[in-house]
Amino acid sequence: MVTRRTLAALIPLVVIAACDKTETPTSATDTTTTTTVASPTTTEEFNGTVTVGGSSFYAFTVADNGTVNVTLASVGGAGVPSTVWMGLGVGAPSGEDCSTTTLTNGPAGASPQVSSVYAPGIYCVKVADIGNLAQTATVAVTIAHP
Amino acid sequence: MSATRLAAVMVCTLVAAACGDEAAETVTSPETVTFSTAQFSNVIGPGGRRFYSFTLETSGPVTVTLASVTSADTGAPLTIPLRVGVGRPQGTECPPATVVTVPAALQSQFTHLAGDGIYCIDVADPGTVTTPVRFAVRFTHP
Repeated sequence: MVTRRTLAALIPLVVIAACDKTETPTSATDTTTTTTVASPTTTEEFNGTVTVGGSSFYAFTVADNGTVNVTLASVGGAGVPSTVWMGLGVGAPSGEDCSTTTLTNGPAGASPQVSSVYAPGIYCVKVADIGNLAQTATVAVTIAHP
Repeated sequence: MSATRLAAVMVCTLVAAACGDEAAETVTSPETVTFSTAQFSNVIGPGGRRFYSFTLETSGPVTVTLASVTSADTGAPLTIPLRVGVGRPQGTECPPATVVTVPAALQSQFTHLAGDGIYCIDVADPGTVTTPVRFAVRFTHP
């Protein structure tokens, strides 16, 4: 026979047991995410002109997360010294321009002036006059990317 | 009612009440997508083309309207069609994936469904431009 006192003691125990949501501990799993940095597999050449005080840009697509090497290979044109310093940047096309996030100034050369790792996406290289041009310049830029 | 039967009823009621939070799931509304409207205007001459890049934060429709074409010299409205397209910037151009040749209009002229990323609006002379014209393209995107 169940007495009222026994009931009073049993009910809370049953409720607690029914609602016990304590999860059984599971063993911890270590997750390691490795981001692969791909080497350049494609080379594009941009031959453009930069007016006095102006700029020019070229859009390219990075297919895999990896290294992008940008080389201002040459600067020329009538009355333009081949050693003239230009602005060289990498960024994303925006509006009618290339919004650069990486920017460096220097002369043309054989080695990449900009080298960085980029995620897959569309980017652009921008070449700009930084105040040194007196004539319109022709520029050649090499872009190596994955 | 006997004490045993009463106890059974009470236990069931209490268990149901105490554990009721699992039954009352909160229903959330679908994520709201915000659309932006932008305008691209410039001048092209015979054989000319211009493009304008923009970023889609999420996938969705890009709706495009060639809103006006006027003489760059006089400002007079022109009824000549221009080629308008949507694509992705590549090199020094914007090769359009969707393109129409239309005159200016008040309502949207085409829609391009796109994933997230960088896209561009391309406006070009299809062979109708004889003197410089000023155009305005209005487009809406997520």
